Amino acid sequence: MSLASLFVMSALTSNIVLTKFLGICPFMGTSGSTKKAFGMGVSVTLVVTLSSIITYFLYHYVLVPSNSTYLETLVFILVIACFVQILELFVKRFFPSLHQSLGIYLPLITTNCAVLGIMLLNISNEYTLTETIVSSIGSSVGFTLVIYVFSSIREYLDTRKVPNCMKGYPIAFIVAAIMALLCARYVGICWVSYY
Amino acid sequence: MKEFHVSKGTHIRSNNKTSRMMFHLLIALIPIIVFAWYKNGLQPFLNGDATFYGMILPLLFVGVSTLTTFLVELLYGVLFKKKRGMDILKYPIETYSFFPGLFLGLILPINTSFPILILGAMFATIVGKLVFGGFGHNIFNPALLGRLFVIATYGIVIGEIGGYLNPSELDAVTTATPLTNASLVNGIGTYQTLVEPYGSLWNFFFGTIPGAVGETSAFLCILAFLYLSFQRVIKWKIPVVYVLTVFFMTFLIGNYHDLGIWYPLFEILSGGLMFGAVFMATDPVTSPTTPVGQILYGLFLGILTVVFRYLTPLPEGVLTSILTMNLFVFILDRIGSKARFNFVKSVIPFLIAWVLILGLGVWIGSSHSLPEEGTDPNYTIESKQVDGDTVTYIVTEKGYVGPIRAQIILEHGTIRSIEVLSQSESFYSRIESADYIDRLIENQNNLEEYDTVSGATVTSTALKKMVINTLNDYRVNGKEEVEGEEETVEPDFEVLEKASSGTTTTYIVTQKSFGGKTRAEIVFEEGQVSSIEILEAPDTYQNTVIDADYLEELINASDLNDVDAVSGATITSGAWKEMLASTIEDYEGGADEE
Amino acid sequence: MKTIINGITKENAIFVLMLGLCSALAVTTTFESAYVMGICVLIVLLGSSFLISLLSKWIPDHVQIPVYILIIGTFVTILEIFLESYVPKLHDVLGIYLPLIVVNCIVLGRSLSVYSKETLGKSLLDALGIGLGYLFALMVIAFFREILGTNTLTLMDHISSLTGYRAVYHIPNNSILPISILKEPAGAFLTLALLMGFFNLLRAHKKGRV
Repeated sequence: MSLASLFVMSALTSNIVLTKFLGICPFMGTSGSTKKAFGMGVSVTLVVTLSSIITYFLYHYVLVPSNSTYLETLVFILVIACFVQILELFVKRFFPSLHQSLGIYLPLITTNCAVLGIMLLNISNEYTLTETIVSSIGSSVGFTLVIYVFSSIREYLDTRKVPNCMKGYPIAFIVAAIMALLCARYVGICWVSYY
Repeated sequence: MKEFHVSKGTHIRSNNKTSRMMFHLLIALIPIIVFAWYKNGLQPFLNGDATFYGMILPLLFVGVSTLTTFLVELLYGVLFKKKRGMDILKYPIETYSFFPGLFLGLILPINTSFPILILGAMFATIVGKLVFGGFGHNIFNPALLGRLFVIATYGIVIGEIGGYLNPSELDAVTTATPLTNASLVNGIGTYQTLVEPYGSLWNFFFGTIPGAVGETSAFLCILAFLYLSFQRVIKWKIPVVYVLTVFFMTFLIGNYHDLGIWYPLFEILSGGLMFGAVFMATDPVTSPTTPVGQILYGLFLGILTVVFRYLTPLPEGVLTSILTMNLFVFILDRIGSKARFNFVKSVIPFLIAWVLILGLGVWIGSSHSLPEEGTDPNYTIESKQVDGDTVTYIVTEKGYVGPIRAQIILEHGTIRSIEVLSQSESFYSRIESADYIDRLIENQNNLEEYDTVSGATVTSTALKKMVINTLNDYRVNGKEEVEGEEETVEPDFEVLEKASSGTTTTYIVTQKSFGGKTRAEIVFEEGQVSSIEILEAPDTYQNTVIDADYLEELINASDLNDVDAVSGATITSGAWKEMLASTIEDYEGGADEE
Repeated sequence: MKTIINGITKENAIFVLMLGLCSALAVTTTFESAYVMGICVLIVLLGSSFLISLLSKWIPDHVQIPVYILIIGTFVTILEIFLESYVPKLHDVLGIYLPLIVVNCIVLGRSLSVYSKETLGKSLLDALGIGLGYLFALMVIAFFREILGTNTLTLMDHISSLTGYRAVYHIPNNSILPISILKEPAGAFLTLALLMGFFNLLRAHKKGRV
């Protein structure tokens, strides 16, 4: 399938939050501020794209030849953890203002289902290197879009007369459910590439 | 000292205005309800296509839906808000609980069964309104949510019993709603293909075309819009901008192919656009309040609707567009409220909108092509091989879900056999049960007028076109060969091994089924099937649904045609049936050992 | 004993603490995959709590997180290998959510807050409680989703290669069942939301009375 439709697919129709349930923690955590949400999205994009390149090479050129693909999980998570540390130091050094605004999100990304999840998905879908990059960027863009929209609704949900039992996660999930239903109807846009 | 009264802020400015709005809304809806009754009930009754029950059905339909939402909120009031006495009835009236139900009844297909309708109405009220805190606090249009739920969950079931077509239309109109018809040709067609099957554009205007119960009459929607605008209880900018955007974009698309002004008119008069624009998009709770926000809302609604109509296989886009834009209402209002102070920043979304409108309009126009005389863009010949007087074609034609690939063999210029190699259509079983393929072969010289299979209109039309195009190619190009890719046509069923010992015969067979091939071992003992064991099956959800019970049923069935398919795994269970049937055939044919 | 009950009710991982939701939504399409996942998480919790509570004294603070991740990851990898060799179909069904147990907020969160500080006994009990709570929560969600969404209840299907039994039950279709969106992602969110709301209601009622 063409790269364009792969991008659309990983961003919309196979949106990692709404269809694969990855990244729910930051999805819920970015409350209210759309700026924070956007910042989170950007940091995730950076981490995911770069880590996926590293893990691609590690998987195909180290794990597979040495028949140790079962170490996939451990290796990937270690790579992500180290990489995030390095990235944080880098950002702190060269872009201190950015570091201020991203705050605690950078290290939080380590224990994020989304990042490890996207790595694993790339491998299980057997993407080539370009496909890996495209799908990683696409997934992160989709993630950013979803948390951005959601954060704009979130303040409304938190302050309004939502019944007590539904406050917080439940109502958020209802909205997510509806967003997921809508996502499913965007399926056809992939057809663009078929013809 | 003045006393300051602090009252609860409601989302709408004042209660009085809300009740005025709702009152006028009801008035505006009355002609539409009457027309819905006429078109879906009275007219078929007068034509003799419907019984008395069928005549009052539309009224019942809308009534049940309205009543359900009313009762659900009544229950909510009693249980959660502790309303007692007269308050029990007052509460659901105050919260305008019957509106989602009323609208839902008007936008669903007439053939929706009552249990589904009730469940949908409950979903609309509970998930669409109550969970968010009731009237004034919902984010999504509840009626549209209900429709989304019903279509997403039961769309296929409703489609099988007629879908949007009322009793009169089921007989008269062999294709589905105008937009489904249009999606067959990628949305671009001539006046003859798009409009004429339904009459003239006036039919579209007044609403005597297939569609949801109350959505079809553009005329009545426009009247309602004028009435509501006159009473100043509607956010008029939204429908105006919405419809104009769709008109403009489809004008660009049509213009690319030199289609007349009828084309954008056709597009805005089809589907639920008018109804959605006037009633659904302007829902006071779920639409923007700032003027700039409203205009942007209308613009993007138009863009999304056009994108959905042309770029996705689903024919309609109004539902998804409005619900999607409901998500963005807060962002739009934020832009709108800052518009006065930060003019530059607010221009950006407009620029984006216009770029999309113009860009998409031109792009869709150029990438979707008008079917020229004699050629069908959805038809391709993969390969054509000639062997004396026999010509074997492998062709593909776009069906409803995806391409249908088939092998067509002609002998002496006449089609002798059609074998569908692969398809992923939803209702293919109907084609099979109607023996459609064989009938196509029988009627190959009269196919233009030949009927389609009801409930599988798009698929059968595609098959028809496939045959017509193949015959055309033969007449035009004769026996010119077309190189196809190296591919052997794999038969659906194959006997891999067969071994007999005494009265026991053991077969190992493969059968092509959903998702791949299934390999099984079938043992006959004394002429009867004694066991079936699946050795290898494609890894699909369907294969997990079918279990040993189904195999038992197949073994014990005296007539395989009586065995039902397993729901949710129709193709797979059908394939297994076929596998057993072919094996029995082979066994009874008494072939030699292989 | 109290800790165990706590982990199932008052501190239920999914309905109260709201952690580890990724897997809860993803694997609850069938009852079987739900309880298998629950058991896997329970095993990982028990194993990690055991090791971590023993070794926590010797692990310096600033390398806590990576070391814990390593320990948890090892258990998860062992489970992965086990499942892949004995019940490969289940391994496929659980897909990427099995390795994702490593970053499951419950495991890591609990490790940092409880197991690194408490004694071996307390940690094990806590792990047992939380794990059981997670298991039950998953089973509840999957129960509704599968029965209402696909008219079946899979008690033992893929796992039959281990146990030798098969137990899959069907209920016949009627006019509203199956509600097919329940087996899709949207339905997962919906079921979880409604169940959470329901349990919140229950807790509010209890508090109201007490």
